[in-house]
Amino acid sequence: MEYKIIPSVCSYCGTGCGVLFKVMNGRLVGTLPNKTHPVNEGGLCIKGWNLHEYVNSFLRLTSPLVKVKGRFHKATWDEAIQVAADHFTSIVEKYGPDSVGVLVSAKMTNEENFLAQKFARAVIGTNNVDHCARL
Amino acid sequence: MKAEPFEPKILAFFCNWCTYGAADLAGVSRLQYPPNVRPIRVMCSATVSPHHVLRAFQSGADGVLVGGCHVGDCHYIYGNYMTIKRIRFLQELLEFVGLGERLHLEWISSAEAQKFVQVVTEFTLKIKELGPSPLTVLSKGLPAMALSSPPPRENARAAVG
Amino acid sequence: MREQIRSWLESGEMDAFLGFKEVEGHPIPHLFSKANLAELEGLIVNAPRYPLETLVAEMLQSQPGMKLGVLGDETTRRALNVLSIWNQVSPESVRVIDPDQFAPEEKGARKVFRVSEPGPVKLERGIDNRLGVDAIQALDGDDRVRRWMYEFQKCIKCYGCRNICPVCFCKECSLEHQDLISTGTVLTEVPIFHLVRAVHMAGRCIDCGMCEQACPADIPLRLLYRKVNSIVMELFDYENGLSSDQPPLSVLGEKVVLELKPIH
Ligand code: SF4
Ligand code: SF4
Repeated sequence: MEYKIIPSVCSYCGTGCGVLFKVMNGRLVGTLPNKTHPVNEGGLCIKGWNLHEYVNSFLRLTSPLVKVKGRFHKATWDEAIQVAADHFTSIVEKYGPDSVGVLVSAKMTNEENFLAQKFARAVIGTNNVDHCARL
Repeated sequence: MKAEPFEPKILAFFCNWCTYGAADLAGVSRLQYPPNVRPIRVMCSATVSPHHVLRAFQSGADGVLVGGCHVGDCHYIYGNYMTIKRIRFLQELLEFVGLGERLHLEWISSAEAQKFVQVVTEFTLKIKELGPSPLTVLSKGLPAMALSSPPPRENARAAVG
Repeated sequence: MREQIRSWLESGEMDAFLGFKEVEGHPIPHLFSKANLAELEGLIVNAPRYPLETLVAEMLQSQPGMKLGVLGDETTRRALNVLSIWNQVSPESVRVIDPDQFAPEEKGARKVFRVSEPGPVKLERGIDNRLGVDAIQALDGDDRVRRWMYEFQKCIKCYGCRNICPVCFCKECSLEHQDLISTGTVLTEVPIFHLVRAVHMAGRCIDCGMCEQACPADIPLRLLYRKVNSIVMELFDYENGLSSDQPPLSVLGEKVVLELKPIH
């Protein structure tokens, strides 16, 4: 039998608590808080305690879905991004750039967040950028 | 405005074989007792789990009374040994969190209508003296009983969910 | 001690040993086995307390009959005893290895887990986890309720106290029972949530202190369960983890056998 404890960081919010994943025979079976992590010092919230559940959930999306005629279909990333880009272009053309907003995440790096606001300001041309940590 | 006299809400769990019988007998004998108890008939006092008692206090009961057969008379042979263990434990725990004396256990056989009346009357008087359950008072957020010690934070919400 | 463990693993007297290893600067529980004997060099003993007992129970559930060693102390022994009383682990499969016993001269080198001292901000708000049972008993009735309600209403309902507890293993937890405690709402129903847990800790809690450390709201849970333990001691003369009988609050007569908690 193989049993491993793997340190990681909670992927839910911007706080970034340290967690330990319990992996038994290659399957994620549980979560523990990391007691020496400077951020959470051994505490977790209810979402963090149940991180392993969504990894194994059958509801989890593992590939992008594109809606065609009211129904979702599995798609590749290239297709999905193309569909999104086309729709954004047509919306911006029709209603102007301020009809689009960009929401970014605290779980991304600073650089990625910078890129996102650059995308909003320079590519789309709107100041509608916001961030989940700006509560 | 005259303050209304405090009428406690008392939840009572009576065992089917003894205490409930005593309550019946008190009824047919036309004995008078305070109307503050809300009896619930259970098959044995041992079916009263600490959960039920805690749920009663959470839902706003001012007192909880548990009645069962005398030791040795249990219809299910040893049910009330379980009752006394649980209730004694729970009494100590409630005492520690400050709800002491609001839980009472009494053995009343089905012939003891007089004792039933006496127990209910005395318990009601005691709860009247103790006043409303601090849990209900805290949940209504009366200023006099606000969460004052230790200093609450600004957003300290009313106590009961 | 390392040599001893190594020889046990080599001879097959022990299939695996649960200890700690440093990963990315954190002491992390790690399973040492015959396949990776070289890693034993990295075995560390001075780590904060983790619920290793729960890990042991999970491993034994997935592979019954395996012989496990676990780094631990007296508290670990008591926790495993409680688990074996309740049929969660078989005592002959686990061996507790206490570093203090291997090197008595270094006794105390092992960092015993302590709750950190509250800082000035916490103290100003009355958050103080150094309180003893006496401090609460010195308060009179209403102040006690207020004190506990103040503590309880901080709860964020993370269920951490239950999840980390080494002796909490039930398949169905009362704290998730719809009719007893409102589930699915953010505000915790107080005090019933904490009192129900306290009732369930009677005859079980082995006073390891992990619940209090896991509590993000600094609720003095250990204090509450200590009182529960002392009530059980006083009323029934039962000390959790030291007796091989089931606690007195369980049903009289027949032995209760609880099902194993399924691994997700
Ligand atoms: S101290 Fe807390 S975590 Fe430890 S056994 Fe008791 S209740 Fe469980
Ligand atoms: S660990 Fe603390 S905050 Fe979390 S559920 Fe338990 S008492 Fe509430």
